[in-house]
Amino acid sequence: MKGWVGKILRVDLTTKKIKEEILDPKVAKDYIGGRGLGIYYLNKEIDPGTDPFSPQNIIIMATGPLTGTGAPTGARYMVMTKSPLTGAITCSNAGGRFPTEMKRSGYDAIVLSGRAAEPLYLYIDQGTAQLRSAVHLWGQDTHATTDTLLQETDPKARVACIGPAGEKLVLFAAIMNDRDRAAGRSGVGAVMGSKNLKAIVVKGKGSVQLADPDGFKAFNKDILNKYKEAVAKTPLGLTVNGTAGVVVATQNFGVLPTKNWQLGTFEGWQEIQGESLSKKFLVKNKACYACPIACGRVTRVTEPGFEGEGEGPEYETVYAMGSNCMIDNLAAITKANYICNELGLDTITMGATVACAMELVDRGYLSEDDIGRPLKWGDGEALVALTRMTGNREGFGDLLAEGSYRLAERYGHPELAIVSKKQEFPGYEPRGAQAMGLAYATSPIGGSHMRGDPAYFELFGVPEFMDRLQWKGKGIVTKAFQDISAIIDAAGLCIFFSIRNLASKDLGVAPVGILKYLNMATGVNYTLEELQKAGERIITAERLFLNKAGFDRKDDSLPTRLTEKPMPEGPSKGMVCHIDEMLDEYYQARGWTPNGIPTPELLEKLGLHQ
Amino acid sequence: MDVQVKLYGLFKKYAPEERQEFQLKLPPDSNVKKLLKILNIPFEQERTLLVNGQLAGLERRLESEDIIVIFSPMSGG
Repeated sequence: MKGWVGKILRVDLTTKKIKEEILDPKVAKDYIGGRGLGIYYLNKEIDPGTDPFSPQNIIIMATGPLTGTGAPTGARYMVMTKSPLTGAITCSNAGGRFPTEMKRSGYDAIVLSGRAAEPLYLYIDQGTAQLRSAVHLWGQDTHATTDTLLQETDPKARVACIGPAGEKLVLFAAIMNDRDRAAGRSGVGAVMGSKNLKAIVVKGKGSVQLADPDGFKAFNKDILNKYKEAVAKTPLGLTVNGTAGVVVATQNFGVLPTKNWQLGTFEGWQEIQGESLSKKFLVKNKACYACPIACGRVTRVTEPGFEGEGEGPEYETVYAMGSNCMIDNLAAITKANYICNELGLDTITMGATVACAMELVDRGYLSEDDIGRPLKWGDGEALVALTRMTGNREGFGDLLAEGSYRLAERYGHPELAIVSKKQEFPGYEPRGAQAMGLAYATSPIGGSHMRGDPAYFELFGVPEFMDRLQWKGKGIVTKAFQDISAIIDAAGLCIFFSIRNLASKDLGVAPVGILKYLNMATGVNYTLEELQKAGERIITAERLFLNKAGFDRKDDSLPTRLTEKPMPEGPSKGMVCHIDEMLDEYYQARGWTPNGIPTPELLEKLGLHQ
Repeated sequence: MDVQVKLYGLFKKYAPEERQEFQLKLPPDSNVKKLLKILNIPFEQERTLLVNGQLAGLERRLESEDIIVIFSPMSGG
């Protein structure tokens, strides 16, 4: 095979048996890779009712056919399993260098099953895999673990690992690779911890084989030249100020979630925006493999009490730990981000859970005695302390470790958890960006922007602006964005480059550029229709898993704060999110019933009928 | 009439004395095009322009006390 390696590695942690398997070319074509392979194996091999922490759950780590090829941003892998936070699937995606190295080590995907009797790590050295003891690493943070493993194996190897949060089954523990890149969401790190697997170390050789290397090279040059011309004219915000630059847009559109989603603008926004980060703490930009954007931020904080060095914060972190907690202290936010990276936590759920706790205290539902410390809006020191306690499950951190839904429910007010399918939202307020509400409600992983990000249409004007306050017509464009997202996630690309440079310049965002790259990499000769169908297939296959796990329309929901309570202030004042109207249109566009179940006709069309 | 203007990022350089936020006197019946001319912002410069929090084009008429925000197009998450 070309583009794909053509091999899968299976690791049974219970028996310590490791075996290679051939990747079925038809499965590869139908599901592309990455997210597609993930859902293919989940549907084939686990009961959707499985306890996420049981040995019966599996973890799929999958690259795509464009990972490691040199296609811009072709640096990514996807981690899929059944989530302990949501009970649905995970789609946790990361870049950096690990995914490319994993593919060069000989495998498109690794399927992990069972549970080890004692802590282990997996080492793959150029096609030879072995399980080794990780007893000496248990309890270590992600940075110390990475350093030790590089010494023990090969300094040129790449590491993905969990920290104490994953070991202690924090429901939103991440898997960290290359020290500070995160497959962050939905608790993939906790599932890895439940299997007693501390880390995966990969060392590769050679390069990914391409079906048409000359054509690929010429097309790549053309795409990169066009990109360079465009950014020479108008520098890309992502490069200049990182993702945190987005605060300027969300604040001024009145969609910057503030005070646990009670408000849409934040008085202290100038303090936490990307420009402030660049001025105060930026050491240098950092790019993932083959990425011309370099949105990553290497930062250093010297302010007393918050000293540290690392990567971040991203926009989502700045919203969740900043405006959402009314914290305008960027040093505190950055420090809490470092702690998340070191202990292995998702910064979105961490910040949003602290914000929820702050509101519970503010309303008198939770006492500061229970917490063991003061917790007022805007308290950066509390954020830092509680983040550390959560990662270690110490004191009140043990309750925060369950996420905002379980916390708010415990104190009698689940409506104060701003979640869908029990997963916390990223930082775009649906009352002022209607399609984002639909994207959160219908994402297969619960509240997420990365499985469909119509903020591009509503807030960024890419490829063109669409009225952010209108709900009619949003079902169709949200489906289009989700479909191309599934293709991007399956191909091994990053959304940041692909939407601007590899999609058609209309609201249909057809994957025209991705099609060319995929065909020259794999030689499979997808038609545009076949590729788009693959995107739909992945999303519908995910839906089948969710349906069997008990999810349907009732779960494609938003908190009543966003659907019943009009935004009280700012440029989105007076709006609620019209989720029900959008859902009807969305299901129809998808070929799902009004209850959110794929129809037999659709399953037939996509080859998913059973 | 007086409007409030807020220029961020690359657009800061067009602000009088490089102040990000300022009041500006405009002739009556001004539109966005007129405002850009007064501030010497080239029409072809890629931008996101909001009037009172909503996107606005060149022909949008401005009224007293309008808040106009201009920043570079962005994306991310």
